Amino acid sequence: MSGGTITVGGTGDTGAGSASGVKHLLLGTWRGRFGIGVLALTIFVAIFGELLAPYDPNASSTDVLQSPSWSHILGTTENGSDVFSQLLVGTRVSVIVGFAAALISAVLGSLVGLAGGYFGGWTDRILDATENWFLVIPTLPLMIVLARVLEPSLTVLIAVIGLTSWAGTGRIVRAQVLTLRERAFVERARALGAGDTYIIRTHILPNTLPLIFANTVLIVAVAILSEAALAFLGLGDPTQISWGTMLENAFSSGAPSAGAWWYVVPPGLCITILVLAVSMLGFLFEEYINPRLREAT
Amino acid sequence: MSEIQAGEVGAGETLMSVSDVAVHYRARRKTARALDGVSLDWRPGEILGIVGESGCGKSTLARAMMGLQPASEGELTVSGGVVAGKSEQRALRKRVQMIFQDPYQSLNPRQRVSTIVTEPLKVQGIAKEEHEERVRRAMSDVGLDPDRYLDRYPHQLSGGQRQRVAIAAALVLDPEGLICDEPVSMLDASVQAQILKVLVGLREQRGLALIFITHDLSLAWSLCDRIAVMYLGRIVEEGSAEDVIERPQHPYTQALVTAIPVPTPGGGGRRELLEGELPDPTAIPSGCRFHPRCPRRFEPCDRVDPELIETGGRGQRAACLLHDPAAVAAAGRDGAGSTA
Amino acid sequence: MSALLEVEDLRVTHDGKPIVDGVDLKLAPGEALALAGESGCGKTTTALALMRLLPPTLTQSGVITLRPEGVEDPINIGRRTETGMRLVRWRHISLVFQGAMNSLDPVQKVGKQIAEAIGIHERASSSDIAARIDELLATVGLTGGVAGRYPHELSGGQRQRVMIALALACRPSLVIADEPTTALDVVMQAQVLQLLERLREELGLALILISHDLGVLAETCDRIAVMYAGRIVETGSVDEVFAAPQHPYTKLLLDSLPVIGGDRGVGIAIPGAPPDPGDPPPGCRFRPRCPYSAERCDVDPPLREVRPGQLAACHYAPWEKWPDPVAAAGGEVSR
Repeated sequence: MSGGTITVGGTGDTGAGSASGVKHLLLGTWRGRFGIGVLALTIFVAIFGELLAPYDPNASSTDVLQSPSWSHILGTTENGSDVFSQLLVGTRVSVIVGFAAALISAVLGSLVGLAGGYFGGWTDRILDATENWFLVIPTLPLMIVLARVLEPSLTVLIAVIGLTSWAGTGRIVRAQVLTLRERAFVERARALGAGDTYIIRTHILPNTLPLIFANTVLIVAVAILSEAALAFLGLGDPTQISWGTMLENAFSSGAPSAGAWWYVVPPGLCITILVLAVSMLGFLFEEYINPRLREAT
Repeated sequence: MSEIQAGEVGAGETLMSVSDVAVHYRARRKTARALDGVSLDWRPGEILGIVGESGCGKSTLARAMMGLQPASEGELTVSGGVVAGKSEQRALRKRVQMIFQDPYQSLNPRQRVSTIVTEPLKVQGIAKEEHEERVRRAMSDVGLDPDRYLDRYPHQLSGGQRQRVAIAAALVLDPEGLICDEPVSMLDASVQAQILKVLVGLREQRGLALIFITHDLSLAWSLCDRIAVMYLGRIVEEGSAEDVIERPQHPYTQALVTAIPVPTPGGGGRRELLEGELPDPTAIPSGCRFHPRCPRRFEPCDRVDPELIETGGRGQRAACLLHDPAAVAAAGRDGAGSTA
Repeated sequence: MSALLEVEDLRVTHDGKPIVDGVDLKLAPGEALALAGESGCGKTTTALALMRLLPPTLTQSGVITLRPEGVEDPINIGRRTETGMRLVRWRHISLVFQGAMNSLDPVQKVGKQIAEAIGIHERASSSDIAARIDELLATVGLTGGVAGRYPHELSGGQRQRVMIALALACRPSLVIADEPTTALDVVMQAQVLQLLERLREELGLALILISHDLGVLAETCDRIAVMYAGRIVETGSVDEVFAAPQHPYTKLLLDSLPVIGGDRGVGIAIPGAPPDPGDPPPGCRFRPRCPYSAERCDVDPPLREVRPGQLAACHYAPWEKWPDPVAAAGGEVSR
């Protein structure tokens, strides 16, 4: 069209895709630096937590519910275990569950969204109905039911969270695919005689990936929170220490009423900060691929 | 400029023809007849214009010809062979390519120009050794220096350059025909002529046949050998570009030509304009589909659906009862085509 | 007769980079001015600046004076506050913008939307307003029944007529129409243009018509200003400019248009693409694309009167005779 000289935002195609842009996004903004910093530290602790821990996190002692001191910088639990060591070791479960569940959710959501959006018709109607079902039912009660029915373990936890959180991704991917399918370059590829697999692989998927990625980062946050919630309700893996099980033990042993804030606050704060950091990264990516949001901030 | 008259261009043989093609959609319990019985021959090396208002079915026709839109009725033949199965369609796509209106939409924003232009070769399974040479030649043919442009992304190109890339991507397969759906309507006036030059140049150098779909009658007139005018899913007039635009025989074509804005001051003057708007393709009027808007309708027009009738003897045909001596005589009216 | 609208040295910048770079315009009451140019040349920005409707990221400067009939003191648009502008917009200047037909509120009936536009500026009884709506719709060639319909029940042409009725709702003395027919087909385009012409005659409206289509402009307007890269490069009466263009850009644009009955074949192609007005080439802005450019073009040419009433920004104007542009350009389209 001619005449329009005022450009507000962009087309969504122009800004995305450059490596320097991503670098600036992550390291040039305070939100990016905060997100990346926290995430990097968390992952480091998740890997080396056991080596860093000053004590065996499961070792009990007679120093029960001690307040922070030089020997136990975050105090001790109701069994006399070191809270700081538990916190370090427990990071791993949160990170594993967060990322693995988000991965399952991303793969499932993308497949459903791609298939429904691209092929349309009956495929779409059935998949869309399933998606709506998962979107509408309250997720936490469903997770609780599933986790209760199945034997609690890390795998079950990951599967349950992954299976209940994909619908949002599916919805977003489907919407994107629906618009891409009508774009002239897809039509052009079809006019060349390209098959569906080829078109999805070379034209649809690459243009959907950034969206899937940004959305998945947000789901990591949701999954970390869900793991904590399930563990807090006693549905976590009883053999593993996680921030959620720490909270559960603290509450079931009556630590808050005993004034043992050092047992409750650190895992709670860790969950909050990690979720905040991951969410910030997710929102940053979302704004990055959608310039209209960038303009609004 | 184009000395080649219709009829002279490979008379007799056709590159592609459609006969009685119809495309019907079901929309909310009604049937929309987007394309309602169209027959058309496209000859080798010919520039064929398809003109009409939006919604007349010109883009649907192009999509049906490319097999992008399954036809409800009718058949498509390429050099005499009917296109029916998948393998014929695949072969067709090697011989006929298409470019689209919007150069901002027709290139994948995440692919470099080199990937975009190579894509057809990959899809059609052309040997890898040929890729580079063919891509470079196609780029030069559309006036883009391969060394400068192959590594760029679409957003680094102007509208005109993008459209050139789209043309290059169509050319790498060495097609015999190129269907262009409004190829310049989104471009600036000063850039339009550049793209048209490229297209016409390809006809001159490679003997490429072109279908030029446009709503711009003056553009069609200046470029095409032959023009077909469409109204509500049908061809209502066809003939050589000069005949159809300078001596239109169908009242609809006459109305279109009258409505063209003329870049000479006062050139338009006061003129009779067509009343009303294009009817809904789910409710096509009885008889001649143009009759409710036609300033020259007469008695049988709401009953009889006119065929294309030869007028003037130079291959010009119009679907109008004014050119049917019998109908005019029966109505006792002196029509334009009255001969008796 | 004093001018209805006078614009002096209008500049619009974005982050310090010019989009409109010093535009002067003058419009007599009842006159139709064509603003021609390609996308990005600044014509839409100019139109929005005249109504002070630019988005906050853009800054405008320059003097815009409006002298509507019946208003004693001239209105200094550049100095008005936002509240003050609201009294001017629609009451004195209104706008039919590009793609306007899609800007009707889809959940409100057409009549209500027109009533709203009237209600903002005047106090009138509901029966008066109803009568005005019928009158307005009749003026643009629609039946009164349209008032009771929703926008989606109307065709594109009808919606465009409703938008024109909306623009006329407060009887302005100037209507700015930005590409009012671009999305329409030839027949509807001709209908809308004829309507605009009739309204000018009947209501004594002044009109600024913005279009990239020189055909449309030639048929409707008295005077024309051709914009290129944020500036006016040629202006004069439509008759004179079309008959004897004095700027190479105007000349080449006219030559690139096919005229039925003239020579067939592709018209003259102007090589390259229009520059970004924020980063114009040095010297004459059209120089890199101009087949006639010569050494004096290093210097930015001022817009000056080259023939009576006709101004052009070209050192070599007036052009008595144009050399063959193909030969001048070296025979081929570069780039």
